[in-house]
Amino acid sequence: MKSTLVIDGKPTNRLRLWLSGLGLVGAGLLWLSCFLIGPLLALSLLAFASRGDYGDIIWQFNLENVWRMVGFGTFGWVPDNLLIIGRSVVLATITTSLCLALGFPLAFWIADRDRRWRVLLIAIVMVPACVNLVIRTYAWQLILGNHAPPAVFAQWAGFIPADAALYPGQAAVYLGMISAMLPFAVLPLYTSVERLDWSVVEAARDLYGGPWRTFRHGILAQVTPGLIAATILTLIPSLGMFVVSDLLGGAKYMLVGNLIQQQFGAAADWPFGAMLGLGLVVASLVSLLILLRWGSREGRI
Amino acid sequence: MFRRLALLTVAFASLCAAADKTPVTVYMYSEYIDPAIPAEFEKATGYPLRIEVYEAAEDMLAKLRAGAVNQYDVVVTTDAYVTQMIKLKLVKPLDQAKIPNRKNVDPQFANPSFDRDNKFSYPYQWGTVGLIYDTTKVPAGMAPTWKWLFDAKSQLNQFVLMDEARPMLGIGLKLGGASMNSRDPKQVKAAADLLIAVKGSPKCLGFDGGVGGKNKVLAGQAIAAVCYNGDAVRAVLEKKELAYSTCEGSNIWVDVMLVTSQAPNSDGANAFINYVLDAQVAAKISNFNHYATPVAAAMPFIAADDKTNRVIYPDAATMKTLEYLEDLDKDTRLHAEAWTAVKSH
Repeated sequence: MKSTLVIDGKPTNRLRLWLSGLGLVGAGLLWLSCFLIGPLLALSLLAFASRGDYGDIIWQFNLENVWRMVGFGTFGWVPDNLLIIGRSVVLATITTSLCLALGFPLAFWIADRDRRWRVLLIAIVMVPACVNLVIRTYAWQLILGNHAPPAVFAQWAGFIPADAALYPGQAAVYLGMISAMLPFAVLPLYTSVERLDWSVVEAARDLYGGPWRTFRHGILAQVTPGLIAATILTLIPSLGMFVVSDLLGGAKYMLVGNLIQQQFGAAADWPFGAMLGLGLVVASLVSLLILLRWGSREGRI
Repeated sequence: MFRRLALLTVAFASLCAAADKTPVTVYMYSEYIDPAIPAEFEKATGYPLRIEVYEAAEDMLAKLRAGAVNQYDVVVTTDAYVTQMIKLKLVKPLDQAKIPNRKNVDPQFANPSFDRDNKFSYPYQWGTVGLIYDTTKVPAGMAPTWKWLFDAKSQLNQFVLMDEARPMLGIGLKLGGASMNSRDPKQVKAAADLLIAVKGSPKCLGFDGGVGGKNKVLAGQAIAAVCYNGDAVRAVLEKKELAYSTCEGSNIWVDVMLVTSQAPNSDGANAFINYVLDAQVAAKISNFNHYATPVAAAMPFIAADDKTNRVIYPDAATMKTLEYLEDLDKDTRLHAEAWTAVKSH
């Protein structure tokens, strides 16, 4: 055996390096190809197939589903799908912004407590996330129902007519969305804030930085990774979520999630559903790339 | 000693014989069968009975298409899905010789358009989609009408629509003088536009599953809701002021029993269908959940209150205004796109 390489004081060769490398990443690679790459490939193939008369799949590849996704259908061009996608993006963006706006102060407040309290408070934030989303959303229906105290108070104060409930409506949808997503925003923010190096903040103050500059360069620059993680963890799941808007918003408007479900359900049009799903994956990836690029730029400051 | 051993052997053998019969697995909507039936079925036929449930017919269809056809023997589902299931070869023809009780089926439910000569299916129970409303809060002395929902001038404050594409578009189509199964893009578009206007009204609380809408009426949050008659029967029992009607015309559906194409126990499956078509058994099932029975021979055994209840058994004049939903094959897309329009504007 001719060994030309020495690593960690031991002689080795290329083959051995390759094998040990493969051993290290192999499990991860296998996992990724089984649960991510494989399904994604299947989805991409299905997206370009077409529906048979009875919901069967015809494996003739064409671009029809792309055209249908942007709105060309039986009724000529209609903005329906684009409206649905736009509405989902707006809902996800507002939800994410609200979660960050609420999660940031909450993370600071928790990080400022005693060690004992911190564990308890984080647990309180996380525990609701362990309960099934549908059940939590139904719980909101009960809380906002017309015989529950909040609605009774609103009826008494004259904000809503007698016998009316506080849902369905936009406010109820955002309440449900925030309660669903807040834990995923708080946790990464908290881990960032907890490790904050306060000497940098002091240095910023010593150098006569105003409140904004101190925050911008002393705090924000340090917590950017947490902020990015929080944005990703709230934005991407809320893009596909539709239970909350159905149960608390009266199901008057479809979101992308509903549209995809309709194709796999009532419409029995799996290829078109796959195309919409693929569109959602691509949109998520693009926003992820933008966020990461922004993050790496921010990190350098 | 010998005798005891012999007895034991006989007992063991008979036990084995009983256990020999493979179970029959039935896949059906949840809370749709009297829980006493499995034990009685086993006593009558020797087959143990396993009930597996689903919530929406689409879930069932997706599961069978994904390969579960060899996990269930009998599937109970709604008429509108039968054509699709036959074409996709998810079900197989019945063994008519094993179903002598087929003579009990009411002629108006035998030989349906979606399954001529009952080659694949026999009916389980049937019902309608209609309007549940609070009689104390609607205009007095007025016959129930879809105008309470669909006409801006007569709209009730507030009401709930059903979150199902075909029945809702169907009612819209019927109001426009068309068939619920229309394949004419103009008619379907008109129905969608009507629904968009209705949904846009501040008096509309939105869409909900039948049960959800009924619950909102029960709680006093809404005056009327579109729901299934089976849910309405129970609500009316709970609150006397409520009533149910199919108004000017609506959707009638019939749930049927089918045998899956790769049923592990075909004989048991046919035995189950035959068992349910028995007069006493059919009556027992319908008395349990207040849906109508399609088994004519069962009528004498139906609870008196149910038999005269027009919510369950509409009169002949009403029956003429009801329409079945048919499989729309390639035009399924037309209705799906119309529903997307309803839900996006």
